[in-house]
Amino acid sequence: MTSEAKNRELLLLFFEPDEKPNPAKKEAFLKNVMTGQITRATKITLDRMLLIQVKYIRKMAWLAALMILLAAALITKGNPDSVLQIAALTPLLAFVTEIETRRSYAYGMAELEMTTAFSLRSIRYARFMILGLFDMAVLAGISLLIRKYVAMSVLLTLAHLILPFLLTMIGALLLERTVFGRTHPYGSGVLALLIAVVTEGFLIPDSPVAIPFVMYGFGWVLELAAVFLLAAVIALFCANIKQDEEMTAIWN
Amino acid sequence: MTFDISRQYDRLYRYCYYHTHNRILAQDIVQEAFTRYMERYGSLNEKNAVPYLYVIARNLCIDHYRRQGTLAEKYLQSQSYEEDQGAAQTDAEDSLQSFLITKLSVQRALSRLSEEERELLLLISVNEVSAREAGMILGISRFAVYRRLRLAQKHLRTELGKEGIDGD
Repeated sequence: MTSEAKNRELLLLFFEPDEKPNPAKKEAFLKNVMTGQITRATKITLDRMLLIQVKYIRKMAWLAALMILLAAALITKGNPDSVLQIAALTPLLAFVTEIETRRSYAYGMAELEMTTAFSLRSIRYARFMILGLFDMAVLAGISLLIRKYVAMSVLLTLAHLILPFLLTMIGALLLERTVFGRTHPYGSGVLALLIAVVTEGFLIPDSPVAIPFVMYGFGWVLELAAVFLLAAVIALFCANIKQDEEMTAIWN
Repeated sequence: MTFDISRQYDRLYRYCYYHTHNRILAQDIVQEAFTRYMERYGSLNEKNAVPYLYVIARNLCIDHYRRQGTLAEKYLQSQSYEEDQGAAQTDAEDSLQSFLITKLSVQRALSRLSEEERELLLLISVNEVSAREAGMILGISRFAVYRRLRLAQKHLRTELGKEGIDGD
């Protein structure tokens, strides 16, 4: 026996464990490693996560926006007063969007989604951003589409279309914070209808609110209001997510 | 060179058991080290798989020390020596007696070495980790490993000699 081997034997007297590892546990673990069950954690990039969320959003949400685009194309033909008619449809779009972004809660999947590779917070932000941007793009597209039929700038037309949308979103998000809103997710639909009817009411020839704004050169007020409401929607959405997380933590 | 996972598992277990003196904990640390390694690198056929596994296991052991304050020294300094010795004196039977006496002598000799020397001997002389890998695990150069290993072996021989064991 070489001196190296002899030394190792001596050292093993000290270093060899008094207890062997549990053979069943070892075997099961090694089997998992060998069969690839323990493998590199899949790293999901941001763009892939967004793509997953795009697939997750129901067709209804996409179709709602496209239906409004189609309706806009039909309403606008030869109708110079079409802006408010189209605007009256946007609260329904806001309703569908809001419902879609809180789907996790509506179907009781919030806790499950909190344990996934991405946090529930990031998932909700992603859905909100995807659908919100898509809706805005559709409304901007409509503004461009009808620009030759209306005597307003594209920006002002967009403000007209977006205001009922944002007002509905704010109402729905505020409702979401209440116990009633949590137990009645479709309650915001009533609100959307109400805002749609009010917006449609501006079509009455002697309506005292909307058109005079434009007539007397105060269109910028509507544009500014749209910007403020957009900021309010984002802030409220963030506040709602925080509230949901706090409530889930308390519940758990 | 292919990675003998079962052998490395046992060697890593020996290393963790030396540091924890707890079968369940040592096995948990070994498996956690493998799992973390696989999640990070995906394959055990990486060039530095062995040192990385030891580094992860070592850090997990250190985390455990911090939480529990159970160093290997604790074992060396604890009564277990005396208990073992007492047990050896009372239970030893003929052939077993010399084995236990040798074991206790080796334990006494090693207990007089520094923790770093014992760790180097465990890694290189027992677990057959290369000097380069041992350097990676301990965060020292290969030359430092050779130098410290030579000193550790010399020190061990002296201490074994004092116990009446020929360490060559």
